[in-house]
Amino acid sequence: MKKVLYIIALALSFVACDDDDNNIVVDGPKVVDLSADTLATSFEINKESYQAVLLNTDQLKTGSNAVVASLVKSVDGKLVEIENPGDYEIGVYPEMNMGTMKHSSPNNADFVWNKTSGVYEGTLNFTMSGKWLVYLTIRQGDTVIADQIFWTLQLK
Amino acid sequence: MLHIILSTLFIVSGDSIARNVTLDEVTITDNAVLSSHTPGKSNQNIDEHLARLDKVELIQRGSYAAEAMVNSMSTERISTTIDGMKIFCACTDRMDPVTSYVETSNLSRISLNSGLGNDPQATGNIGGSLDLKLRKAGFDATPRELNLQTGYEHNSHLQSYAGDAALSSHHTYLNAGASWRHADNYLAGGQEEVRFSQYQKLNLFANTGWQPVLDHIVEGTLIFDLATHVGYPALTMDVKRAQGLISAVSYRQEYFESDYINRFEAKAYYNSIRHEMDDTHRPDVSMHMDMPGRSQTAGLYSLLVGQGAGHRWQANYDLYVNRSRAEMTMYDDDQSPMFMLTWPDVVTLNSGLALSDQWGPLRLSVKASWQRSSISDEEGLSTLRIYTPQLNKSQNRAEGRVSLHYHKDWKYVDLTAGLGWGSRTPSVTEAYGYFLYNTMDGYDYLGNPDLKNESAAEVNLKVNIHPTEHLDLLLDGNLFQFSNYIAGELAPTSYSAMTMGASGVKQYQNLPHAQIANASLSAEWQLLSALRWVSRLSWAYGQADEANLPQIAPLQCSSNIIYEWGLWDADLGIHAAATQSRYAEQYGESRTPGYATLHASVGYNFQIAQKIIANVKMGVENLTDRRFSTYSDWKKIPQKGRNFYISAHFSL
Repeated sequence: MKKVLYIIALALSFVACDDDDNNIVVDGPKVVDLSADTLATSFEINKESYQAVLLNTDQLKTGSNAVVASLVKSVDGKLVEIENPGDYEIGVYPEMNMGTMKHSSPNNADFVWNKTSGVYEGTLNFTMSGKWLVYLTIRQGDTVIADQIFWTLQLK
Repeated sequence: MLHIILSTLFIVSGDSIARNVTLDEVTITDNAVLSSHTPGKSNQNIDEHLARLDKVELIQRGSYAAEAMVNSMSTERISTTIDGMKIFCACTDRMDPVTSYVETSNLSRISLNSGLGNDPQATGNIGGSLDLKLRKAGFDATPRELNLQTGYEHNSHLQSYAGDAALSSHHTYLNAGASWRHADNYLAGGQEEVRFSQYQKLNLFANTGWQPVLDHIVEGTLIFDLATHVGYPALTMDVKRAQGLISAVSYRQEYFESDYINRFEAKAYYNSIRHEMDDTHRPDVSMHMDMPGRSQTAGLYSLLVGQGAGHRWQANYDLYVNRSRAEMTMYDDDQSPMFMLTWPDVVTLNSGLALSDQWGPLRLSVKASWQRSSISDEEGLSTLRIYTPQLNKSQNRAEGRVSLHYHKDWKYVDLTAGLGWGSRTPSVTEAYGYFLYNTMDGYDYLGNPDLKNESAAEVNLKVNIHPTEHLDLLLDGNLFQFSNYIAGELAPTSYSAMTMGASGVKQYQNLPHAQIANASLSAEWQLLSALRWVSRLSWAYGQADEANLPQIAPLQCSSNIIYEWGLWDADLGIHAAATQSRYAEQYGESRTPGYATLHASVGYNFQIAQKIIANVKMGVENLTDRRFSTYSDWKKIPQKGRNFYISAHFSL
């Protein structure tokens, strides 16, 4: 249910501008309002600041997870949607640091843009509970525009 | 072997168990009699008794709880029952074969049915079945009996103490007892200490029977077994606690007015196994792990035996439900614990109907079973779906077996020939196991729910030649041709190992074909009235596609001179094995050099004050203190070096 609400909220933020104090209206890109359950990691492109945001962190569990994410741009301290989000994909590689070795999971699905829901959708597989780093590779077509960034998750 | 069979008939006669022993069983069944009246020590543990069975080999991971193999096949391909009761281990690393949850004092004998034989309660028994027969006082036996037994072995300072008492009348019986074993680390040949090879074990048991009306018998059994601080030098972990609780209630009717029905038996049972692995005593553990497991089984069976028109038949219905759950938690100082289910709370419901008929020299045996396996834990299901996305929560399977034996006696020759076909469902580990580390080949193993049933066709032949009453020769061989043989194969490279130091991940797969063959030649020669020579030569072969199968014995030989005169008995023997050069490299095996060891024992039976029957035995194993490993010793842990022992048994 929460996932649906996130998606609806996010979608609304793309199609409507309102006067809510939390969402500052600007001309051009729409402002994104993120809930407390999101998880973000920052990266820069041409000295501009962006964030890859995992939206449904509270639903993550051990096993296979359908996950949704967003790419946002930081403009004057506010987060706004990026232009042409369908041009981007987010590659994922979950990894667990187990002392002297690292462990990963197979059959994850990179995040791709879903125009209908207005978010990036993918699959993250977690083979056990514990601390996971989800490494991200942001691609625009065949060009990698950001990598070596990650989300840190603590699965219980 | 003939001597052992005859001993079985002799020793069990006079109590209720004798009614279960038929000549039919003798022709195809090997029995190890758990008695002190045979050469060797009288305080032998279950493993040592199992090793006396001709077709049984043991996989040692330490000095405790060896895993039995029958016809070169281990746990998944054999059935092990306790008086017909199904029981399943709780350890994912095979530290606790079900034979480890009983003690010698619980049992009267171990019955082995080779291959796709006639054990009505056995399921999935392609290699064979072991049934551990409980030691019940029985009705109209000695009214009061007290047994005390103790033993000491200098190598490992093993101490064993056992005591039991029995009361018997025409209407009731009760026998109960307790035993305790404690062993320190043992010394391998050359006096090298094998660390983490200690163990201790407590066992309590009680059997009771009530016969309110002649031949209407109600019986009950309760066994509690607790092993603690058990070391496994071949593995990376030890066992903090392995606990078994085994209970049963049964009803038997031994006489019917009908000419066609002879006997009826029904039994309901429940057993619970708890197993806790432990690495807290191991040095240099980079990441501490807890690996508890639990297995609970409840079941029933109902056996009807009859005869008529030249046929002797039996029909058996059995049903059991087993719940197996195992966990692993890894503790890293820098993060919260990492947890996974290595057996995802699998509930297995199995129901089968077995029929057999003896008609002249022919015996036909058929069994069909239906099985439903369900994953009860949602987290376990979800993690398995990472690797098998279309995995259903439950799946149904059918399995079965059919065998036909022909037996013919001539003056100097007995011949038994058999054909059979049988299938088995994948075990919990093979279907649902989750990153189970195999220390032999260094791979993490994943189960595969999509496995097909494994099946095998069997051909066997046994020729017993007895040209004189003093000489008995037995030639015994079998061949199993497998289809869809289940074995671990390399998994896709995207599968990442979870155990530190693991070489990668393997997943259970069906191999199209495999063959296992076993052959042996046994001889027993009564040289003098008091002197007997018993020897056995055995050989095995196992191959799948172009690769050798693991745990296949090389050429082995044992030879014993046994002296039994009056109150004395003694034996001198040798056991030797050729170099194992047909090893399975892909499963982590390597060449095992040949070896030979000598053993000797002497025993004396006597009476004290006309009331107490006693015997004292002493002897030595591995007389030359040779350092060696057998082909089946896990990771080639060395066997025990020279070991002097003494044991005593008193019966009042």
